[in-house]
Amino acid sequence: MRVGWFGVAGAALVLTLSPVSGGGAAERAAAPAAVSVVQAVPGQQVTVTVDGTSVEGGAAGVGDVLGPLELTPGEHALAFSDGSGSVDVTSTLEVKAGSTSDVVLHLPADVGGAPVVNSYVTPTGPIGPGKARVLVAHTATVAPADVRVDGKVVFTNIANGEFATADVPAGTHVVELLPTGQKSNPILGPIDLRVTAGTVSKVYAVGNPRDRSMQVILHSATLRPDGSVVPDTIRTGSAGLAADIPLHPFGPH
Amino acid sequence: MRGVPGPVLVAAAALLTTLVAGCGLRDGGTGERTAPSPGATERRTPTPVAPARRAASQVTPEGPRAIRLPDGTVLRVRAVGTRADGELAVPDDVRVAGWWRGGSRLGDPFGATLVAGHVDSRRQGLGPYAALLSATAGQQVVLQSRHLRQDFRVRSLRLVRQAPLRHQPWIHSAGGDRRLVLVTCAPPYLPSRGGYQNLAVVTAVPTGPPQRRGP
Repeated sequence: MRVGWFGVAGAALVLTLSPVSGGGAAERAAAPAAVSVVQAVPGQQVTVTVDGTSVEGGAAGVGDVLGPLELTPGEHALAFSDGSGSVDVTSTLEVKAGSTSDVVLHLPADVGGAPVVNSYVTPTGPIGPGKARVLVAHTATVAPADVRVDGKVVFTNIANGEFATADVPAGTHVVELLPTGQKSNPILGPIDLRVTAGTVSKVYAVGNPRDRSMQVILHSATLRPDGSVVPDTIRTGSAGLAADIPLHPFGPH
Repeated sequence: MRGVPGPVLVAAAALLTTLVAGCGLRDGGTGERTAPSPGATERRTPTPVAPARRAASQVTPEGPRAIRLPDGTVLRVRAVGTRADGELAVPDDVRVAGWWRGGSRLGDPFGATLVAGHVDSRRQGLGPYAALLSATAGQQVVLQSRHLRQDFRVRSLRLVRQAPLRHQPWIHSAGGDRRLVLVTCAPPYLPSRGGYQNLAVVTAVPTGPPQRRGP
């Protein structure tokens, strides 16, 4: 069953914010940071400004991913507003040269809490063949949760504002969010999560199970391969000294 | 489901309106202020975006550095790759095992951790991996990494003909249940046909999650 998915194309909008001054040699030498802005507050249309400039694309609804924005290393001013005062958050964001991250506007765990902003650095380390990386983030109005993948609890006790990552086999997985310690009545899912080898999928759990607004925002990126190649042969003996050892196979594969 | 505020959210929005009115820097700090509400006396300063925290329950996966075989022998484990001809680069030393670095690590939720070792060598004689030819169900194997330790129990011993391993994904793939796969060479030994004709493949399954090692 697939519920509450947003098809999010990562490269929908690209906005380059260059320094007004043009920047010095050091700034030009430093690689920019790639920052995507994820709007994870249900029921709101939010305008995002970075250093006083509105991010292109107009007001962002829940599930929209703006960017990636190219930001110079250092501090930037962020503001989120719906124009009515329901959402009005101003923040500063410190970014490192060459980093890739998502900045996520979401609700806290408590019902009625004001929106908060968290950043999630994308785990961009190289990855082995046949694997995909998953980052699951708790940005929902709900108590700490466990994450079950293909029936196996992979992450436990993730609270609002926390995340967990894992490398999993590429393919389609059945993912459920459960209240921590519980084995049934998922808060979210089961949903089919299809992950491609050599990619990272950032999965943001959003909404409130009490009003059935739970949904998932998915944001993917490509990773570098770690250079590993699946072995085709294993040769682990040459002297013939084990030729007469009796061997009695047992058990399944 | 897009943009459906439930009653709770409507209430939240109303509450938020009273909470944040009058304390907003708008449009990135161009100075436009909303009307202050009663009780709101301070102009809010922007707060730094908090980096999300990694859940405390999560362990960082690590490749194995040592293995304790069922007979108690402890071997060093080295991370190895695959040679250009497709052969796993298992260390020549029979007392050092090779972990295929593209596979699963301690702390990964799925897949095979492939650790191979030489059954013998002309210089060193029979090696500790020869004992795997006599493995029995339920025997304990322990993997250690820099910060972690995980116990496994032997589930199977299979004899696999020397043939391309791409047809045997259970030995190396990132998919399937978490498992430790120990491989060494097995008889018959036919020098005229390249030596050992089979692989002995011992599969062991974890008895629990990886534990952090003591100081």
